[in-house]
Amino acid sequence: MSQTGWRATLPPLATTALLLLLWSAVVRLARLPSHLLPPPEAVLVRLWQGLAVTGDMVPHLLATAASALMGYGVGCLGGLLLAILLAEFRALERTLHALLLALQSVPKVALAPLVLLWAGFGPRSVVLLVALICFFAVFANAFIGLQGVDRGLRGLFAVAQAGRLHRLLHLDLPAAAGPVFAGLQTAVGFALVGCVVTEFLLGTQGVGFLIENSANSLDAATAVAAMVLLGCLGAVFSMLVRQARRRWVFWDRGDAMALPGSDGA
Amino acid sequence: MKGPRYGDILLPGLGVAGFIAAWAVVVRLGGIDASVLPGPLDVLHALSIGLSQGPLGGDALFTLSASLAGLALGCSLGLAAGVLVGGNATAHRFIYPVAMGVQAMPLVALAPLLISAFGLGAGSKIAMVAISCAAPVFVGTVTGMGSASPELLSLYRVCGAGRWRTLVDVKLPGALDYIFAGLQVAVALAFVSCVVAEFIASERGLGYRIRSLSTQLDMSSMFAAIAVLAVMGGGCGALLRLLHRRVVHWRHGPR
Repeated sequence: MSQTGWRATLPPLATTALLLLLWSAVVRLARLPSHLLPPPEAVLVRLWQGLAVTGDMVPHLLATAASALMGYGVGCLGGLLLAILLAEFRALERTLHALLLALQSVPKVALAPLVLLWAGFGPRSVVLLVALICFFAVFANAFIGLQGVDRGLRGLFAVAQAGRLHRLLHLDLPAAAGPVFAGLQTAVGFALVGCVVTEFLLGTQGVGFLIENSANSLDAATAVAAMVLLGCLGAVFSMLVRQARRRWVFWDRGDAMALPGSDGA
Repeated sequence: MKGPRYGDILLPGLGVAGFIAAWAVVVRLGGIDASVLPGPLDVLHALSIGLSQGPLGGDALFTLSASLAGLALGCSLGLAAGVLVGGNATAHRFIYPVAMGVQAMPLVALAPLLISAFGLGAGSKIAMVAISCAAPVFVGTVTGMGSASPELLSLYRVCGAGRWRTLVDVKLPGALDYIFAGLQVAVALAFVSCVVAEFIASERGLGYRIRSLSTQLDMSSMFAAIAVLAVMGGGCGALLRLLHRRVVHWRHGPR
């Protein structure tokens, strides 16, 4: 186990180390000005300083994490509920599906200035945009998953006079769990994108603000350090979703591959 | 399969029409100001004015060309790297996990840095789009190259087919579905990342227009610009799906 573990983790670590060395060498040899591309050491120093010494990055990190988490929760839950509703009531599905498809082709991130005008220049707007993005990502996947539930099994549940809730909990949701989790997985990445873009425009707090503000003041080391924080945040979130999937969808070990067409961030 | 029923056309039409009617009624009866929520007619009016006399057409053209240029650049890079890495087990072990990690990062966050590096013009937008698009195409290509049937690969090896032959005949055709899935993600990302870069700093483009209209509280024109963006993105996605069906004709069959 540990040997195969090493065989899997060592090569990417080596590549990462090589890339860092290359980055450092390029910056040094090409004498790039540090406001364009800072050397990796400078980024590490800034990261250490921002997290442990002065702690000036911590509130931004917490603000982004909180907004992303809240928007993700609200949006994903809403998307799942709507998918269940449409799958349960066929007339509703036929009425709303075309409309939802049309709305889905609107790039949600482009709505950020609109959301800021409606919900105000505060963290509420960040949560709202993230929720909007996650809603559509999860809805699209969950809906397709629910449509694919075996008709024979549905018939069996009907014959056995199982109630609607019983069937939902014991047949529909488990059967659709694969696509639902694929949607949850894509939504993680989208949630961070939504956060960062709204924070770019908001300009008061959050990792997005930190990146924009420091890039504006030609402090690229801080901007890159904030990028690294964002990457770590994304990695932690998607690891949590993968863990949840492993626990609840233990029978399906395949990769969570999002369905094509569910990607209109 | 039954023939088309009236419900198949009537109900979706009813949904869309009902949505627009409800929107118009809420705006009219609620007495909502157009700077808070414009009615559908206001948006249509702003759209026609913006396209015929205003800057909307030029902005759309700028965003479209920057997105397509970045898309072409990013996708060809992703495809080339994907073919190289997918065809080589060692390269796969060393590079693929790192690329997966990079793809998971919100690359759009690089926009401010790219603007300070490449300036306010189209260059920074193209760079942003290319970076966002390369990752999903790369991952799709590598995944697809690994999905070729082992029997077919053995057959080619037994017959003494060379690497190039195996690549062109077996691995690439087998990978096409995955490559197209990656391209589909890339198209959606292209417009989004172009608009985000334009939000931050630009002199033209739909993102720039949406943001500057938002400071003037011109909601009708904002809605119009967003609609143009949606149509462009949706149109490119639909074209790509059509191409997918044409290229991978053996899986989808004639329709």
